[in-house]
Amino acid sequence: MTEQLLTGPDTANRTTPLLAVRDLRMTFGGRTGVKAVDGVTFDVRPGETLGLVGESGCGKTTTGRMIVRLLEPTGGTVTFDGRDITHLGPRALRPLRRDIQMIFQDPSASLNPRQTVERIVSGPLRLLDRRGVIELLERVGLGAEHADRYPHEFSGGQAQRIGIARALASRPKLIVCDEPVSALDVSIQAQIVNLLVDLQRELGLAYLFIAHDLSVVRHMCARVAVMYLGRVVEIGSRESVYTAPAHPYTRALLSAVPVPDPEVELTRERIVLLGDPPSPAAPPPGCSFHPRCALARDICRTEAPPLEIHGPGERKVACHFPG
Amino acid sequence: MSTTVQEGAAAGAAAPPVRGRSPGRIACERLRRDPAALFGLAIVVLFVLMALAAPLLTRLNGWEPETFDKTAIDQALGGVPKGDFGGIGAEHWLGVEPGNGRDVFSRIVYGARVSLLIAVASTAVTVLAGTAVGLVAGYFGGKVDTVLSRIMDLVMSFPSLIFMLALLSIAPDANRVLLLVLIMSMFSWPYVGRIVRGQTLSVKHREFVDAARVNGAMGPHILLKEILPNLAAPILVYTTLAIPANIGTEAALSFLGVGVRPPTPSWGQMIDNGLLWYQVVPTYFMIPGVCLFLTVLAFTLLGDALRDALDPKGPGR
Repeated sequence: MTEQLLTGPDTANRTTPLLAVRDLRMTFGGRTGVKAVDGVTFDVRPGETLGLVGESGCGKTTTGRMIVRLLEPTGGTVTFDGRDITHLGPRALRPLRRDIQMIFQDPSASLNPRQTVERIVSGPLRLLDRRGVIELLERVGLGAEHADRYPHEFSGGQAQRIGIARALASRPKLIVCDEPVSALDVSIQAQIVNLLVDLQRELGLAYLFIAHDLSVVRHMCARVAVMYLGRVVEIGSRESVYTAPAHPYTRALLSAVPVPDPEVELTRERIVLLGDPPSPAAPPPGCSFHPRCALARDICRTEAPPLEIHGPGERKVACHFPG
Repeated sequence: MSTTVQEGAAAGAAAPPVRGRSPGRIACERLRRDPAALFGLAIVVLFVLMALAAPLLTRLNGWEPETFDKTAIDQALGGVPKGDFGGIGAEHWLGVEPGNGRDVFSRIVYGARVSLLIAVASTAVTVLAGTAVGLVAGYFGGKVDTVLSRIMDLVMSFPSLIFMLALLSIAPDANRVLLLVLIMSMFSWPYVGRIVRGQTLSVKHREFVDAARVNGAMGPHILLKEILPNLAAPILVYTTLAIPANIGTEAALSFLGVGVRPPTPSWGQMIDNGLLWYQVVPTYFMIPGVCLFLTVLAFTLLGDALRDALDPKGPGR
């Protein structure tokens, strides 16, 4: 499976990828432990946004944390700008930290309550002086008057703006956004998403946008990868994934999004998944989705489907019977 | 929405510039509104000043703590102080010691020095050692944590009073105060260690620690600049509650005869002596007792108030 992916057409892209993730694996608790991420492969090109969606526990956050190297992968490689960073130590990582930043899910937990905004934004390495901090604060929609305050004095949306300013301080090329709007009110979600889009346009940032909210991902991401139980089951352009989902899990996910038209909403077909996702500590044999899949046949119970090109564009699906 | 901050950039355009209030500032402001805290603080300050100014105060009343005043006691009655209430009067403000006539006020004042010094010093050693061990155990985890935690369990499983008594009775008599400080801290640092370890475990998984790491921070920076400041509240509260406990322990050890050696005065030792005379001269027993009680009460009130003031979910934000 690995070889197929490595030689697949994805590596022959027009632009070289900024981030290349190959067969990434993370097993917690020894060899027999939980396979949180089980062979994930994708690219992020400079200046683009790749959405990574899936339900809780599917390994998307773990994938993000391996890319910023808060975790050391137990298998596979992470290549950034042509350099293998999979097993670099903290000292060797330091120069790269500037290029790869992260925005966290819980905006208030991600700001040290004992530090002023100025200290938080300039970071542990004091990358910026006060003027630089204020410039950044203004860029994310805050002001100079916020620089001397403490995190508890801000609302969730403002706190997330501070988190974004901190991520921008080192002028990164890639930002891993780990559910950056999930903890916010819907009205504020839109502001933050638009801020991220504006910043991307101005600064040419690339995002790995981890989320479970499909409408946010649709708004933000040109390409989307769908994860289920530690694996990518479908990856492709926004259009192909949203308008013609090929994997039964993607179809089920999309059908769970309500349609803002009552007549359509009442009559449309819904795919309801039964049961819970299996434990990643004891994944089912064959296709990990088969216990919940309406299309499952014998082959699905014995053989894991490889991620293969299906349909137009670069869309790939891991399913024996893609729709 | 009446607070100073609003969503977006529009805030503060017309409003006067607001300087942020640090969590420590907020705690201070809350303490200032708490009568129990102010009462505790006043008594603590009083006793600390008394201890610091001991030589001045004894010059005022004219009696050194170790000077015998044979004229103030009735030799014929076995040394009972002359006059009512243990000889309280203009000459001896709090009376004299039965048997030898040493001035009680001077001994209380110098005793405060010994009691507070031993309590504060042993608390400092305890907190420093416990914080260091707890931070390391909590942050590094794994084998380091296992070894350090077992050591802490081991030390805590000693019946500390018995061991302190035993150690102090066989220890050389060189520097009694230093000895007391070391032996008292030896048995109490694991309690701080445990608290700090637990807090470190919870703080190190907060996202701001990850954020610091993503920004290139390494071990020592993360421990000292990101994690330690967030442990300030529990450590401070433990400290203010450990001081009265240590005052009590010192008094107990001196009472049991293994604390500071006479003629150096200490409150516990005075209570011990007072017990011999309590039927004849109850004041001699009560005066150091009241001092001990007031100090312990004051520190405890202060510690409790501090805990409330530092609680981020508390009222009055």
